[in-house]
Amino acid sequence: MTAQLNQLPAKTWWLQGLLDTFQARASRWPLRWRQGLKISAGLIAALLVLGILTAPLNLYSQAAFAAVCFAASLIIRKQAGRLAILTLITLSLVASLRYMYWRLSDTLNFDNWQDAVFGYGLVLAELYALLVLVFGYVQTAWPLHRKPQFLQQPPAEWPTVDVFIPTYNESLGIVKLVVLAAQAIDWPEGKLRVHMLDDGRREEFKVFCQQIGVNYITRDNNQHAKAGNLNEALKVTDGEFIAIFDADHVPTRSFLQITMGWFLKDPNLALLQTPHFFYSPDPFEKNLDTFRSVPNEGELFYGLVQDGNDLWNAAFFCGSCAVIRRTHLLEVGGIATETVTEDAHTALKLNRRGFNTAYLAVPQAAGLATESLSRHISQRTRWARGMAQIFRTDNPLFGKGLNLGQRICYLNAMMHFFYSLPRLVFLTAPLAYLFFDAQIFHASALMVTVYVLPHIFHSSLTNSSIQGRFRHSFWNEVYESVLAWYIMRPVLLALISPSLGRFNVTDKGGTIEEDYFNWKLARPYIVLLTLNMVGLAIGVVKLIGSDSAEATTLLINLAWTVYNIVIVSTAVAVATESSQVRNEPRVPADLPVRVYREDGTWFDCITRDFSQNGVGLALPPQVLLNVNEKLRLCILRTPPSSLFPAKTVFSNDNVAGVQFEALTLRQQSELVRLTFSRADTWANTWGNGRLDAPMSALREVSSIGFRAILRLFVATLKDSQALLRKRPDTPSPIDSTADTQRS
Amino acid sequence: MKYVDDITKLFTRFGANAENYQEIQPNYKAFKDDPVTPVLVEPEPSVALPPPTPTPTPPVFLLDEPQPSLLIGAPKSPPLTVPPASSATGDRQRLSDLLRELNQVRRDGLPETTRKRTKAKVIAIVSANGGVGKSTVAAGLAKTFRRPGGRTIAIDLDPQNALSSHLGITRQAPGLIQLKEQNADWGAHRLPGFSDSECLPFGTGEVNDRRLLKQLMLEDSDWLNQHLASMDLSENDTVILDTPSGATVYSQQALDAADLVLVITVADAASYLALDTMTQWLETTRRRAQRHRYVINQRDDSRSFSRDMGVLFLRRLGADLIGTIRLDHQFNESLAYGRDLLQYAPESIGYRDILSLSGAVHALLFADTSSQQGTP
Repeated sequence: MTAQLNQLPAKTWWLQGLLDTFQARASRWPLRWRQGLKISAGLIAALLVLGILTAPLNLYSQAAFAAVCFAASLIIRKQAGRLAILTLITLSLVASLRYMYWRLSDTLNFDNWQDAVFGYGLVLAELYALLVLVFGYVQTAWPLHRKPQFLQQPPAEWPTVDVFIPTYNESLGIVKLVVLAAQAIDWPEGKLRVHMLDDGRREEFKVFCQQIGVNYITRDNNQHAKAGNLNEALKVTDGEFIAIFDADHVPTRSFLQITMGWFLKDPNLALLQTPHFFYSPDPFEKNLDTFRSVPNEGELFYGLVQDGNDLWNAAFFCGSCAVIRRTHLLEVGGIATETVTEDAHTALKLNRRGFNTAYLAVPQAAGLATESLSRHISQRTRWARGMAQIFRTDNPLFGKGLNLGQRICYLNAMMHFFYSLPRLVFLTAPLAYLFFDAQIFHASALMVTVYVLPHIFHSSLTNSSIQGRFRHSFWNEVYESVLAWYIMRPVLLALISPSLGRFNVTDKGGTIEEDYFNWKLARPYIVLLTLNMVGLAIGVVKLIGSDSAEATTLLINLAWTVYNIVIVSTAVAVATESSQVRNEPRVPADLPVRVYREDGTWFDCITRDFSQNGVGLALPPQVLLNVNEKLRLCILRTPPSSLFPAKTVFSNDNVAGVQFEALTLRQQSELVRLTFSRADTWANTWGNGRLDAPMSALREVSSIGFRAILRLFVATLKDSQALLRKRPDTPSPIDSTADTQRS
Repeated sequence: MKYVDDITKLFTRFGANAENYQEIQPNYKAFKDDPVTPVLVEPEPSVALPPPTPTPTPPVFLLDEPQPSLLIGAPKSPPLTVPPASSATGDRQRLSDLLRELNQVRRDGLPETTRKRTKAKVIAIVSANGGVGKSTVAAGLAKTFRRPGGRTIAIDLDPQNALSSHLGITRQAPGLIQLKEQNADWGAHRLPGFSDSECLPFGTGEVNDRRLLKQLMLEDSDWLNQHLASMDLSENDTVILDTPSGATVYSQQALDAADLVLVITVADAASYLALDTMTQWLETTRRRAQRHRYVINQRDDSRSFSRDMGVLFLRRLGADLIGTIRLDHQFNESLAYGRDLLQYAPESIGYRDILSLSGAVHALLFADTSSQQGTP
């Protein structure tokens, strides 16, 4: 609902108004009439669609039909409301399914086995993409926009909550923040019990827990990693609810009062998930410099997909920032341990058992994103592997207890991770023609154009309309392309043998000393890029002196190749790690503070941002702080905070950086409560992103890709020179690509 | 600067009312902070005693607080140089003897001349028992007592932290609890109160904070003196110290700093009886050149018993009774509504009595500046 509030007040479609009026009138009709109307309307619609999908049209009539549909879409897109979205989806489905019907019935007469291999490969990839598209529409057509349910009971009647903070190898500096914030949650004393679940069994963690009165739980083995850790803690605690935070997800103080209401309202509710919000940029955002300007992967998932799942009662657990009802969890045997994505699997089991799950799109915790590409890839690989495992061992399409919507939502969540192979197919498909003259489409180039283009344009336009602020066009392709190569193998392995694969912890909070080019990770994309470049060159050469029919085919393939080059070069850009100078990510915030200086004077100002150990101050005019000046800061609120001793780290005209000095644990706790624990910080930036504009997104992606190619060229020259000078004998994997690059 | 609560901001996003929200301040009971884990620790270097102290100073021994609520973590057995008999609180006579001895030792050990003292006049407001209106009198003096070209600063040494409210200061601000370290700058934290008075509140804090403050006071009998000295006040300035009832660490600090001690009492039996202990205590701790005077507060002339008690007090105290303030409900009302009595009811009897007390104190302190040395 936050998203809804932020949307521009677009005009509601007149047709929607008409329909609403009709619906209001029809609701007064007898039940039998209404049912009859529904069934007959459904039948007519189905027949109509079937007719539209299969009607054979010649080139010109298909072109005219497509043009009309697309024009209609462009108009409808400007309308607000549910009906407009549903109409867009219908038109998109018509275009796509019509394309697929034509594709399957008319274009698969291959001349030789070579064409057939490439051709069937491509058509399978297309079928996968179409399936995910359709499921995606089902999932996201109607986000529930659940609102928080506020607690009506007096605090004495609120349930007891155990807060679990599982940790394994995160540094104390990071975990400390989470524990202090968890303690500061506004929940009655004695009903909030914070437990640190340390699988690393570290002494300093134990001492810290003792110092602040937090329960420290360990076990003598590390079986089943996080899932095992949580299950072990379930045995030694007894709160009615369990809130789980990863060791880097800092909860706000309002977390429980915002989330618990639904549990008290719905006794069958087993799980409530809130978004994972990140206050540091992920490797994509960092390396491409798109933090807060282009929505990241998570934003689509938490902004739209989970909200859509919620409509179907299929919102699933994401391992952190969620509340679970103990009794219901124990009924399905605790946290699932069969797969490496224990979270989604647990939710699936809860849904199968007939319990409800919910999703509340209010960020009430924030964490650190993975800070390097390799860690990001290993995290996503684990997710993909786990989803493939669930797909194999506990497929949501089969088995008891789920309704159709739930089956589709879970299935899509899993199938989404199988994108790697199809993505690689799309990235190389035009090369089959350019390199080998393989006729993978048995159709005239113009026919392909009038069928494919509506399919692509409609689906892009519709997704852009649905996803709006939560994803920008073409970025999905970039994300998937970067991960595709790395996810492919584990997913395929897990599909063949689900027992392969183990849990790997995503390590967070590191720094990258300087910009460097991650050759090893970029290698597959450099190969792909090179291939596509060569394909482009061949195509251009062929284009000179080709007849018009061949030229059209060539142009289609060349356009496709150029698109692939844009996407792949952006993927290469992601592999350029930019340095992370600041150890602590800073969170923008304008908190009023009073600063007491050493000379006894004080002034009031506003903070620009805060981090775990310092704040940035927007200095009032004529105030200049000296570097290393000792200060005391008081955060102004009612009542005002304690005085935090601090030191100026830097200061210029109107900005000063201030670092806290030797805070006691109590002061640290109070500071966390006043900064990271603030209820509104994360919600304020949620869903506030720029609306998607497909053309400007394409421009953005292209320019990033173009710069990446230039940078790659420079890096290649530099590195190969250095390599040639230092080790002329050792053959390097980079040399080959470097040579082709230069050719 | 308008401050909007984070909860309100969040709730406004869903169009909900933040009234449903329950703010629950975390308690820090379980917090055991790094350097201060045990109560009895080495004194921090910053509060080390001044160099010219050849003999180790035994901490001030004090009667314990009369109100149980104020018994906050004073060490069970203070590291006294006296034999354990000191803990036998039952024997009053013996106790006061001990006190006298102790204080003699302390005074001799630390000659006053070596200490840096503030130039301002310091008035301590004390009482034997509670509820006699110390804060009211302290606030009244803070508003009315003014030397030409000088300021009057009221410092609250009472953990109840009520003085600032009497001076119309409503907002929470750091007080002594926060500013206990020797390097803390008291001057910077004075808050402006009614009638150009200034106030340094006691501040609010957790049990542990008060314990720390108390520990500092126990270790350094000169704690307050040093703070006052560091405020750099001029001789025209006046400091008024409000203290908790009875003999406490806080009032002890005040007595050690005061030029004039005003004992506030009410004209009733309990106060009359408590007067003995008070006098005894004051005698044992009297500094050189310190005067003790008494003020009867809340005298209710409409009741004959109160009048009679007043006569008894007068007979007993004689010239030491420097003022009488009659019972005036305006005090209560103006406090409740956060109003300044001076503006709100300048003609009230209570206010007139405060003015005349202020005048008497002024006369006492400044009329005979030359002969002050010899005064007992």
